[in-house]
This record gives sequence, structure tokens and C-alpha cells, in this order.
Amino acid sequence: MRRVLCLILIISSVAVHGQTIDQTLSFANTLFEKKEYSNAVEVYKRVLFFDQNGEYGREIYKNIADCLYNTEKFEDAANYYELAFFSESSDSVKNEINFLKASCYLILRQYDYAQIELLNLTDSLYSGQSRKRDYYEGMVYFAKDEFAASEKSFKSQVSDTTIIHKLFRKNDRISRISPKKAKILSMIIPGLGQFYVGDIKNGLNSMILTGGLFYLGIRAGLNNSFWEAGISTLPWFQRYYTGGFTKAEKIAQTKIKERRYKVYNQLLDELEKQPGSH
Amino acid sequence: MKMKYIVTGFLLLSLLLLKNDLKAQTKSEIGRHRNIIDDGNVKREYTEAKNNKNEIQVLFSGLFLFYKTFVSSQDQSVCTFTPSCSEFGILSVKQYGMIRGGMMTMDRLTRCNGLSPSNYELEKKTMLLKDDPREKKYVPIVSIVN
Amino acid sequence: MTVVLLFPFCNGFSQDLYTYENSKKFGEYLLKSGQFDLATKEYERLVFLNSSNDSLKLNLIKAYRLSGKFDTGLLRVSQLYPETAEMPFPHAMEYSKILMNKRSFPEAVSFWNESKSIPAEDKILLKTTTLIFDSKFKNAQAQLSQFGNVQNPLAAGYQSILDRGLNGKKKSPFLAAALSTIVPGTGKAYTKNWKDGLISFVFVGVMAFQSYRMFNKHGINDARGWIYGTIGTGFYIGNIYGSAKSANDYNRKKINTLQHEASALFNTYY
Repeated sequence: MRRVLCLILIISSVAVHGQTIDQTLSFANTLFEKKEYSNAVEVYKRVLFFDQNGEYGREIYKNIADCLYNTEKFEDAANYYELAFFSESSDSVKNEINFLKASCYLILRQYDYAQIELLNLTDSLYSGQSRKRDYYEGMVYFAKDEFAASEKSFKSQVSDTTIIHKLFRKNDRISRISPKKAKILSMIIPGLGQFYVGDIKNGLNSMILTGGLFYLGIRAGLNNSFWEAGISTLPWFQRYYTGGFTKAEKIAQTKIKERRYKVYNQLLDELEKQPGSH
Repeated sequence: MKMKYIVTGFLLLSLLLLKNDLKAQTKSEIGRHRNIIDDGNVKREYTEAKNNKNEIQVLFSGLFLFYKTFVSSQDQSVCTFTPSCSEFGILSVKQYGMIRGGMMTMDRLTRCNGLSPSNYELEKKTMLLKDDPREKKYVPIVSIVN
Repeated sequence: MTVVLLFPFCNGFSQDLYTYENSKKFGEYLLKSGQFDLATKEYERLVFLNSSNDSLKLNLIKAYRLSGKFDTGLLRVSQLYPETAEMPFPHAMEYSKILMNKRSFPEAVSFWNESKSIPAEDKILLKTTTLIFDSKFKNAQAQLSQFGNVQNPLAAGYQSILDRGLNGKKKSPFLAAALSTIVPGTGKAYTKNWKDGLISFVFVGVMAFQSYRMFNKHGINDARGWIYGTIGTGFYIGNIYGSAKSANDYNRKKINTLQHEASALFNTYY
């Protein structure tokens, strides 16, 4: 509440008394420091609008981008980081901007763009930046399923690599799950592919459903005629039989994603345990 | 008198500026990147079957959930519409009662043939045809242009 | 993109960014560049600084309308112009557009009846517009016939729309239902949905045939016969309902096209 009152006072004093461009900028910076990001963006945009000679852009773009980044508007943030990058001259700051842009693209799941940002880093990195590069590269490679490269990057960030090593071996085992195999198994016996990837519930479900329809078809065929069984139960059997094996393939793909996600987060847990983690 | 204006100004401005977000939570750099890959979770909650008002709705919701869990889950996605035929069924029975809802559902099942896509609007995200029993068919009015 | 848009507006101004003049420039820029939410804030401030300027108020109402905050917009109008009937014409038009966007047609009509700034001719056009939007073509025709000026492009456009709407061939839901009662599917074919009609025919036909066969073979007490029969009856009744619905959809689609046309005419005229 005190924060709110304080802000009301600041903003209204500005509104009532008016400000020069410099004062406005420093007001925006105050809001920025107070982490009032969306309010800060509004004031920064005002400065940009009245900045006739383009003197302030350099100072502002990165802050606007940071505000947008912190309010989770990653697409807009990436665009402002782009502007900040080109108006910046210091290599060290440029690298930091590249990292932030890479982060935006990672969160937007545009992995190739993120990778390009990492390729744009300067050859000689500043203190702490090479570890940061490893951190981002590890994530990008993992997201792009390039696990050997990812392992290398993750390992270079920790002093003791045993756990990371174990996690990547676990990840290798995930790669052995084959959606195609699950599909073929379920073609042979409905439900088998689901059992293979460890989905007992759907395996039993598929088995009972197709098995039941099969039984009904055979019974009708023996009791009446097979032609009749064909038109009454075969379409249903066919539907859930093909449904079963396509689902088996999908379940396998989902399981792979689920497990990879788990391993990935365990990798991040390891990084978080490191002294001086990001 | 002037004081009154200033006070009003305070309140107006603070209202306008503050309702946006003051939360601005700080996540750690690692925390931000925990969801950059797909977690594979595809489970969906069937809200259609909730908030039943009478026995008939409970019965139909039960049938719907049984169908969704044990039968539809084993099927390929074959319905050409969104919401799907079973969802349409439960929604229309709930909204229009068993008789009219039932008729609407039987009609919908025959329309679910994919032969007349031009009769419906396309939902781009899922590439399915829109046919929602809850929707009132209004036309866009004065468009928001100028 | 926004940043690129920013530059052309940066010319000659004094140093104080929050002066009335500068705020006005900034507000105009925000409105023009489509940042309507920010524009509402800027104009709220400007109206606060100068509460007697009508053009600022107009832009404020406009910003509320364009940012989709219809209710706040209406509330602010009632605060800025307690006597809504006295509102100047442009403001009255903005207010009308908000009401029309909200489909608050009765409120809109009673506002037009009272408004002193909207000329009688415009009132007729506005009322005709809402009646068209509300699918009441006959009432719209009655309203439009009070309009004298034949040269007016909007009135002429509406007249053509109404002619087509009132004289165009419609499909009767009753006939469609009746046709489908006699031969399943024909009602849908009549409303030009012959593919759906054919499918309905096949569904009902197959179920009826199966039911007939079962009864024939296993007698009246056979469960399968009853199951096929029930499903078939379900499809049969559903199809009668669907045929009437199909006719209504057919008519509605025609009217919708005309309403879209009316909407486009309205937007170019006002």
C-alpha cells in the first residue's frame, strides 16, 4: 500500500508540474529501478516520441526491452533488444543483449533464432560470459535434440560432472523408445504397444475394446453369417483397431516428451545447485 | 477548489496507471527457462460434464465421461468439428434439454461428414470446423476500423 | 515497428514533455499509431487539464471505443456530458457507435430520439442501420421510407440491401421439415445441402433396413431389431429438426451477407 501511495505521489507530481525530457527520462529510470515495468515503458515511449535528435534511443532501448522482458512480452522484447544491439558500441554489453535475445527466442520456442544469437557472440568473452554461453548452448542443443553437444555444454558448467553424466545416460535410454515399434506391436496385438511404453491403462483399454468387438464379430459370424458380422461389427473393429495402433505411436511420442522434460528440468536443478548459479 | 482538482487528479491517474501490473515478479534466470521444451502433457479436463443441474444432466455427463475415457480415447481423431460430436451432445442436452438436445445431436452426427466445409467457419489453430451449440449467431456490427 | 513510426512525429516542440501542447501531440500520435490503451490514459490526463475542450473529449471517447472498453466509454460520456441529448454531433456519433458495438439497440434508439445535435436525416439512417443489424428488415424499410433524399449514397445502398433482403427467395423451414418427414434427407437437399441430405438418407435407410431384417429374421422380440430401430428413429427425427435448421441457416446466411454489406456502407459513410 505504501508503494502504491508513493507511486501516486511521484506520478501526480510529474503530471502537475511538468518535466523536461531529461527529468522525464530520470523519472522513467526511477520507475524502472522500482520494477514498475509497464509504467516505465509508457514513460520511456514518451521520451522516445519527443527525442527529436535520436539522442536518447541508445540509453532507452535496452531498458524498454528489459521492461517488456520482465512483463513477459518476449516477442516485443526481442525487437527492442535488436534496436538496443545496433545502438550499442561496447562488446560486453552487446554480448549481454545477445544472451537476452537468445532467452526470448528460447522461451518463444524458436530454437534456431536462439542459436543464431549465440553465434553472434564475440570471440573473446568477458568474465562470466563464457559460462553463460555454455548455459544457453546447453539449453539450445537440448531443445534441438542435439544431446551430445548439450551434454558437453552442461558438463562444462559444473565442477563435478557425475550427476550430469547420469542424467544424460538416462536421456539416452529415452531415445531408445521407438514410437514406430509401439505402433507395430499394437498392430500385432492391440494394446501391446501401449504396454511397451508403460501405459497400462490405455493398453488394457485398447485390448478389451478391440477384443470385445472381435469376440462379438466372431460370435455373430458363427451364429448367423459372416457377411452379416462383417457389416455390423467389422467397421467398429477396424476403427478401434487402427485407432489403437495410431494411439500407441502417439502415446510413445508423448512419453518421450514427458521424460525428456523431466530430465531437462533435473539438469537445470543441478545447475541451480552450483555456487554462483544464474 | 484547486485542491479538489489535484486530489481528483491523484485518484484518476493512480487508478489508470496502477491497474496494469505491480506484480513484476523476478524469476531466476534458470527458472525462466524451465518450460522451453514441450512437457508432453496432453490431458484435458472435461468442463462440459461439470455443474450438472438435474439427474438427466448427471446421467448424460456420466455417459459422456465414460465415452471420452474408454471409447473416444482409443479412437483416431475423426470428428471434423470443434467442439466434437460428443462435446456438442452434452452441451446441447444441458442447454436445450434431452429432447431438443437429442435431436440436435443426432442431426450433428449426420453432418459430421466433412463434405460441406463451406457451411462452417474454420478454426485455424486446430483446422476443425466451428459448430458450437452455445454460440448465438450474431453478425459483426460497426467494425472497429476508424 | 512502433519505433519506426515514432520518428516522423518528432518535430518542433518545447522541452517540457508534459505540457498541454506536448501531451496533445503525444495523444494524437498514440491514437494514430493504434496504441489505444495508452491513448485513453493520455486523453484522460488532457481532459483533466482542460475540461472544456470538446475535441479532446471526442478523442477520449474514440480511444475508449477503439480499445474495446465500451462500458468505461459509456460511463465517461455520461460524466462528461450529463445531458446526453445536448452532446455535439461528432460525440453523439461516437457514443452511438459504442452503443451499436454493444448491440444495445433500445438504448441507442432512445438516445437518438432525444438527441438535439443529430439531424433528423441521420437519425433515420442510424435507426435503419440498427434495424438491419437486428435482422428486422420490414421495420427497416418502414424507417427508411421516411427518408426524403434519394441522392444520399447510404440511403440508396440501404434501399438496395432491403430490396434484396425482402424480395429474395427464402427457404421455408416448415417445407424443409415436411419434405424430410416424407423422404429423409430431401429437406436438406431443398436447402441446397444435398450432401448432408444424402448422408442422412443413408443413415436412416441403413438403420431401417437393418431393423427390418432383424425383425424379419428373429421376430419382434429380438433386441437388435429394437436397437437399430431406435437409432434409426433418432436419426429420422434428428434429420427433420436438422432440415428446418438448415433452412433457417440458409436464410440467415443470406441476411448475414446483406448485414455485412450494410456494415461496410455505414463505416465508409460515417
